[in-house]
Amino acid sequence: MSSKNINEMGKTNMVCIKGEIDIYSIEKFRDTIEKIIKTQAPEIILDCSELSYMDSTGMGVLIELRNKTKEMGQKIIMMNPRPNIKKLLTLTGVDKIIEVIDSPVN
Amino acid sequence: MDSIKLTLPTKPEYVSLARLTIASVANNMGFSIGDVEDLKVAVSEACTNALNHSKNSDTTYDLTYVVENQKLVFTVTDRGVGFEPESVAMPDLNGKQLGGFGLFIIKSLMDRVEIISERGSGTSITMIKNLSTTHEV
Repeated sequence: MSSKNINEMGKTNMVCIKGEIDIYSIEKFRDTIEKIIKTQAPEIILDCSELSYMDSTGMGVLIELRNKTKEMGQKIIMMNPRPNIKKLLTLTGVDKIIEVIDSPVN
Repeated sequence: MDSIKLTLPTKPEYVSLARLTIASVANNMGFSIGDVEDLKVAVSEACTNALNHSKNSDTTYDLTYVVENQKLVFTVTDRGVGFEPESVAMPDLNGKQLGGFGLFIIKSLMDRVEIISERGSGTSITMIKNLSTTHEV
């Protein structure tokens, strides 16, 4: 997994997540998002357009980080997840607690 | 009926190898793109389970594929600490209980799942995916 293009769009912080999130890359993913959480941006958008794979390891960390940000008044948003990832988000119910969008928030 | 057996190191970096191999086998069999993605997730979840339950002395675990007529049967076998499949609770999205997603996902995506686990001896998860009769163009 790799990440880049951390852009501050006003109150929103966006990060592009690329590659695969599994048991091997999960700590890198967690570290990346935790660094952005520390910027105290109210909204953190994960651009998942180039994320090809994610499994329950990623879902678990997403939920953990979502719960953490919720406590701090922040919000995690997933943008443009591919159909295979969207399917898992729906199956596990993660899409009910993490907003999933198809385009950037204006 | 063809059978393939892989012995993988109990290291996270090799779980992607399981995904690559199952995608290759499933593509050759004619599984749809969506089913191949489901198979990749299922094998990855089972391998992750094997790694999470491995003991320090375990250096490898096994993955077998059996290509049958109209179905793929694959098994992940570890020699880890084992667990009681019935005792795995559903994850709580708002709470601290985040484990259990892997088995839930495997059962949701596969047509049949059989788990044999013994405390101290290891776990064997066998998953079956039927080749759908409807084909994607």
